[in-house]
Amino acid sequence: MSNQKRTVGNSDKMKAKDFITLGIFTALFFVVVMVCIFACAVTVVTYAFGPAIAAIPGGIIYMLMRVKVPKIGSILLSGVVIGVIEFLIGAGWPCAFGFIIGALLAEFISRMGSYKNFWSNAIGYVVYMSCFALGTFWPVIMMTNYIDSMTSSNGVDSAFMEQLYGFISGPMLIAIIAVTFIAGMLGSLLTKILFKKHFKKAGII
Amino acid sequence: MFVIDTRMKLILFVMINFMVFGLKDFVLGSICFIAICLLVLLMGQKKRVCKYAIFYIVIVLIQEVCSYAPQSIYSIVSIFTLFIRVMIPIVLFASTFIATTKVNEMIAAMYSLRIPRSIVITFAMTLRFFPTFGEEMRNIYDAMKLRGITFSLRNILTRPFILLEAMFVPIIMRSASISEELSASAITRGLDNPEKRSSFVIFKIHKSDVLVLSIFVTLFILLFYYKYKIYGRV
Repeated sequence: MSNQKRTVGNSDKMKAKDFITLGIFTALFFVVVMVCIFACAVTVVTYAFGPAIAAIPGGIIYMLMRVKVPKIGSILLSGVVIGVIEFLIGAGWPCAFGFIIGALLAEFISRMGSYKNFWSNAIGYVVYMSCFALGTFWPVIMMTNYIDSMTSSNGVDSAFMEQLYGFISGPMLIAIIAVTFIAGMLGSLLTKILFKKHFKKAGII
Repeated sequence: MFVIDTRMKLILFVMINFMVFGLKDFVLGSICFIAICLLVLLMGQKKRVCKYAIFYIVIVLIQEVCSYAPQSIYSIVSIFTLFIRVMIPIVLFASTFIATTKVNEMIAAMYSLRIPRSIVITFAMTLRFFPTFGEEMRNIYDAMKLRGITFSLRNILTRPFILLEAMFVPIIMRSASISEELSASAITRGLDNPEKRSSFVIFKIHKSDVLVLSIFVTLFILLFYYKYKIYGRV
């Protein structure tokens, strides 16, 4: 613990430069995620897997952010900003909360590797994107639950509704999280290749 | 047309979010939607209200038509119509919020709400970067065209990774150098100064703001009270 405290101590608190870097890459991350989600929202089935597809290119930007600003609170800060923007453009509070809680968890996980270990950052990213996927999908679960309670009070066909509700809140949810998990891992591994091929040569990192 | 204080709009936004997700019942939800429509009308966005109101009615009609279909189809369709119907009021208010609030007003409001400075600066940077991003993207796409890497169907099918790489690597490089330049200029202008900042935008809460807020608070309480009466839970 004492060793960790030295590597991420108070001495490297975030300064204005870090806020600006984080702000710019957060904007980039947001644009990439939104483009993927809107492209996936064309059909209902792909809508659920939008966050997973967004996780692949998003991973490059996320990992770059971690390399550029390896400081306390950097993940939480960008998560909160994305959450606020999601909230303001009308994605509803579950989506915003998903981002913020995911960022909080990712912060803890990255901290174990003192913000520099590749694997702890990658796992943090995967958790972050899974929370976001949960957040986007949560309203659908709420709707099903609501319709379930409505139809069962009418007493019609409640067995079917129960099955549907069970499918959406069970296997479907697990599938979404699993796919997001794999896609996030893929995205962070892709980053490793890209870093070697381009960014290290260009002297960005 | 009447202007609502930006901080009021933020409070209303949070309240509308909870109201809309809490009230999935058709009648209560519609009352909530009508109230939001009236508010947006007062703010002078007639076209927007018309567009969203028509969309709302269409969605409700689809749900009604489907109620004649078999129960299983009806319940699957109603998950999605319900989802869209619940989201419409939020999206309506959000788009109005974006159309009627300038970025500097938003930032001044965040400062006056005592939101931590780190969040405000990052938020402002993010918003400021979107137009720059569009400009950079256009330049990069021009360069991609010169090398024959365009968004044609053939390219998407045969070499999607080259397409992604050609787009991603330059934009990340540009963003990195823009962030260096911007932080240099921001630090010389004293962004690191911890003193309290003066602002060009000065907020004042008018009587009309208080009126709107009290109407919405009353509505909030009433609607949830009726929900409690109907369903026996909040």
